[in-house]
Amino acid sequence: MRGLRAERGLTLTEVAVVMILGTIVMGGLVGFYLSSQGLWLDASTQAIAQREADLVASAVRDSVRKSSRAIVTASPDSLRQQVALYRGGEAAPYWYFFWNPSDSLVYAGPDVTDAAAGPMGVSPVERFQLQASSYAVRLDLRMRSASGDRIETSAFAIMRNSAEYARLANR
Amino acid sequence: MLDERGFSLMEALTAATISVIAVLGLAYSFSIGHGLVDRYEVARAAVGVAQAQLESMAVLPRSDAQFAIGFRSPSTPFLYEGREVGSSDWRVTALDDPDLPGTSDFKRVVVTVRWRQDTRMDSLSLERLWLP
Repeated sequence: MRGLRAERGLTLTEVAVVMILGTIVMGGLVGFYLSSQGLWLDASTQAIAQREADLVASAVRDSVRKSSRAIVTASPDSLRQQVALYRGGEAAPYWYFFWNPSDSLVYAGPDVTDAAAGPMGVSPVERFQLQASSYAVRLDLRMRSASGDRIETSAFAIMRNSAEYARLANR
Repeated sequence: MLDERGFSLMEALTAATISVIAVLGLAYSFSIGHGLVDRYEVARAAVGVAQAQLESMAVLPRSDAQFAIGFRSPSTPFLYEGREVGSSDWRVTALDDPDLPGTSDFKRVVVTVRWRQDTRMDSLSLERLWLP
């Protein structure tokens, strides 16, 4: 049989000490969890934005390579432009890459007014600058991730079906 | 009779120390992960520069001096977010295909981009083969 002393429970001081220590430990754990979650979220959104920047750059590169002509328009402004790509001797462009001012996203499609065309990503694009010559197109792209980080990339592609490239390649 | 001794101070301290080490390890892994994402941010831009250089060589005549085997280009600055973070250059070497006659069957163009991020130097190389 246990003695009375063994069943006396906890004193107020003991409970207070345990509660203070528990609070400190829990506070540390919660702080660590929140900062880890923030770090993970930041890294994830940045990785997503990087992948989207790659996607846009490679899509522009692939489309330019099979084109014969490109016309860049400062629409809506010189920082956010659009490019119309032409095939062969066709008078109308077959493909566009353009920045949409309503959501700051880059779109691609056969028509700039095509409401069915979806954006190429979900990260807002701050700069979509293009330069076109008679045989090549250069893209400078800057996106912002959901956590506010800036992602920059560039692409350069030669229009393999352009008359100028044929001339240069056959020198 | 059940043992109702509970934990000793040493046991509690040991458990707490192990927990702290585990938590610090987790925190370190998170920061390493974020560091890698940061690192690849500039690396992706460097890939764009290297790809652009290789692409622009498609319009160079094969007889151009820049296509000569042994040529090494001067270094050009590598810019990211408007500031110079490194440099890039490219060189042309001969590649011998053992299944083909001769020793210079292809011209291998290697573009190398080097940059400094924080205190670490980083670099990448892309290469493309051309018919001589």
